[in-house]
Amino acid sequence: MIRETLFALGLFATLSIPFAAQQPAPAPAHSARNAARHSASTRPASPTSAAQAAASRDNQPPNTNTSCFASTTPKACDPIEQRSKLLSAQHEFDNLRLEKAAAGYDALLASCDPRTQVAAALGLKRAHVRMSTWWWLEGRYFPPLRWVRHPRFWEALWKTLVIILAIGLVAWVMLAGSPRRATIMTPLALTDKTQVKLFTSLLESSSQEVRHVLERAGRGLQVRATTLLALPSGTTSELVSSLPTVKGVDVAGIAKFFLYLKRYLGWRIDSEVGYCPPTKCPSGSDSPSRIVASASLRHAFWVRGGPWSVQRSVQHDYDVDGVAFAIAARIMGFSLRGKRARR
Amino acid sequence: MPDANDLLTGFADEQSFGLFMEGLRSLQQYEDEATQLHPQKTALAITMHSATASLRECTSRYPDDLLPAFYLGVALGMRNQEVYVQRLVELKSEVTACGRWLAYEDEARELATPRNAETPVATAERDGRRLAARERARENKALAQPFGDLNERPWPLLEEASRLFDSLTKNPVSEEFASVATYNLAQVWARRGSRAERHYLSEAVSILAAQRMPDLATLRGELIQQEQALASMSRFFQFRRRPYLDHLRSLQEKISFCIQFDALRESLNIRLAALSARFYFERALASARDVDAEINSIDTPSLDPGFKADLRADYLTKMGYAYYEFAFNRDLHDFILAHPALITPLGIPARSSPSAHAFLNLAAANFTMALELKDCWNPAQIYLALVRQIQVGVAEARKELLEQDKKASLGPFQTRLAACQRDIDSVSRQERDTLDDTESRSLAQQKVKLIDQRDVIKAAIEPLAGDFDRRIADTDRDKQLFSREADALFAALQGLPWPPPPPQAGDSKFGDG
Repeated sequence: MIRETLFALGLFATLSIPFAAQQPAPAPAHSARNAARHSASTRPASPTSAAQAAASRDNQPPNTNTSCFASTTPKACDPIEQRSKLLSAQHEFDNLRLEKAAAGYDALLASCDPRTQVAAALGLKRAHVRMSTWWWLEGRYFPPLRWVRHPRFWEALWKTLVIILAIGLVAWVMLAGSPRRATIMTPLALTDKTQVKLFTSLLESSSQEVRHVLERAGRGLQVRATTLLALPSGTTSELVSSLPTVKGVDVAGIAKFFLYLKRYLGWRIDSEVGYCPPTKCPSGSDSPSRIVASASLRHAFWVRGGPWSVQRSVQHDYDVDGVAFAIAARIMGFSLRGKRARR
Repeated sequence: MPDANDLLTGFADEQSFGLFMEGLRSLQQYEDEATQLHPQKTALAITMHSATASLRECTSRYPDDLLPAFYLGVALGMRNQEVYVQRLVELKSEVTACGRWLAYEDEARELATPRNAETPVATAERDGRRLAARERARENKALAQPFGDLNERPWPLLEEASRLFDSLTKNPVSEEFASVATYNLAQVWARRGSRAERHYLSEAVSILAAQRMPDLATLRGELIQQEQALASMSRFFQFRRRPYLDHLRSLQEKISFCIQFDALRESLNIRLAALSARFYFERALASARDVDAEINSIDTPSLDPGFKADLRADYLTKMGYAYYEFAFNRDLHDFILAHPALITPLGIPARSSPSAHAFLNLAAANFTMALELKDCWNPAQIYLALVRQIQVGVAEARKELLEQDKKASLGPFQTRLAACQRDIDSVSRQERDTLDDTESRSLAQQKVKLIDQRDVIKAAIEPLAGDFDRRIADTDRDKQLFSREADALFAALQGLPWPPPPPQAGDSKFGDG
């Protein structure tokens, strides 16, 4: 299934990138320029271009290697090589990479093999006919018009749909239950003096404290425990970045990719925290310093809970304990939300 | 359809749960601070304010959530303790006057009883002292009036707490939750109940009687079965111990709760019987002693030692409070005098009569024992501080009475001694002025006789005065001890440093000059 996905993604990338970016094909310079001109123009390519190419080759300086040891006999024609080039151009044509195909055919017009020459002329003509069609010309600005004409377009489409449905099904199954584990993503610092690392660490420990507070209080009246929080993302990222690079492959980078992918598909907590220092009001009185924090519980691209915002007056910027606990309690309370209504 | 447990532990949304948890955490932080040896006033104030604010907001925004309302009731009860302590500190001199009033009343009642073979002079003297004591009692009673009116003052926090608990008992929640809410409601009413407000006690007793509780014998049987099953469990099934242990703990909690329920009910019964239905007093006392026996009989191997200590401390505090109330109940004293069989079960020392002094001592002993079991337990601390402050007044009055007694007892001797000394001085002057040898010899003999007489009188006075002085010194020492203990307890309850820091040089209001 992954192979199919990669194939589909590769196919689209191959089709769309040259159209969008107009990358020059790896062909002779003059042919490429011709092809680009053809693709940009609404007119078909001139039929005299082959003759001009032959003339330009005739005007090239003679071989200056006049040594008596040098061979003076011309290079023998290799039909197999010429055929392979022709096949390559045909392959480009079949895959709707018409600029490349035209450039390939154009190069083969001066082939030493006469049969190849004829086939190249025909191929060039067919390529130019196709490049003159409305869907090709408009497709330059709206690539899906060209994708639809690709011979494997429908096959790629249904395979992509199957893959998306499968991912959706897995995600739905994962989302159906309540969160068992949520990862704290590194909170966003809203102001310069905010103690983000301290807040993150306290957010994790506060989730444990919520449990302890409930356990202590629930000697007579048991309150059901809820979700667990995992390590903060900052900690795990540091662990991952300390991994070595082996054989030129950045293991840390791959690990990071899968880590973030896993986190994105799982339950995570996005939060932001800011410390507002005491300010002097116009009336002359000091307003106390505050810490504001906000968090939301997310799963893939869904926002499942929150955003919960909390604001507390504090003594100093390290006094984040109360806010962290308040946020943690709201996160933990997600599982208890509307329990009476759900049942 | 939601079940009872979901109704109880469900929350409207995360905000409700968050506010509840913040309040609960602050409440626990307050508890931790309050039960320290030297709590900090600022920390107490901050945590209590945070707890009540969070729980109040939660209860007002989410009225359907039950646990916040329950814990708000608990927080208000704890806050009310602070207010009570504050009012007691404000009325410290009145509380002391109350102690003096009780001591003079005790004295007047004791003097009202005629002695065996009493002479008319002695009877007249006793009557005089009795009237004086009664007069002093009346004066001190008037001084102590604000303290006497304390129970009748409005207690809005307790009223709000009782309203919350009352609403919780009427909700369709689990039986266990309803029992706990009922217990708390009865406890709040028990705090408000007094001689003037005895309807609170009656209502508390009636709601406790209406509450259906599990049978203690059945629970105990089940506990024994579980313990046997756990003991006989094979080593191969050790992994299955956890559910058994959890079940055992749950059973122990239920048994503890039943006993605590019984302790509250019986303490209320005995208080109510002492106030209005003394014919029932003996039975109520026997039932209370049965609860004590029940607590002592909890001795299963798997028992958490904290459970028994908590139960015993709770029982002792409740009984201590009952004894404190008995100190003011003169009708009960008369009833006990008429039924001497009650003296030993009540714990009054043999050959002592029921008096405010004796009951205050019993109350203080109960509170002290409770604090030995449960260190820095606030309810016991509050009532011990109160009783010690009253005992300061008692000691003051006793010192005054002893000084009066000393004066009365030593008065005739002192008069005779003074007369004797006067005679000696007169004889000495005459002896110095005379020129006749015979007269001089006669005066010298007379002087020797007078000196002998004086020494005899002095010898008679000294042990008597020494005895009085020793008793006065003892009473004074008691007063200082009680005063110091009460001050330390009040300081701890208010979160103030103890001993108080010495005043700084700059604090003098008179300045450097």
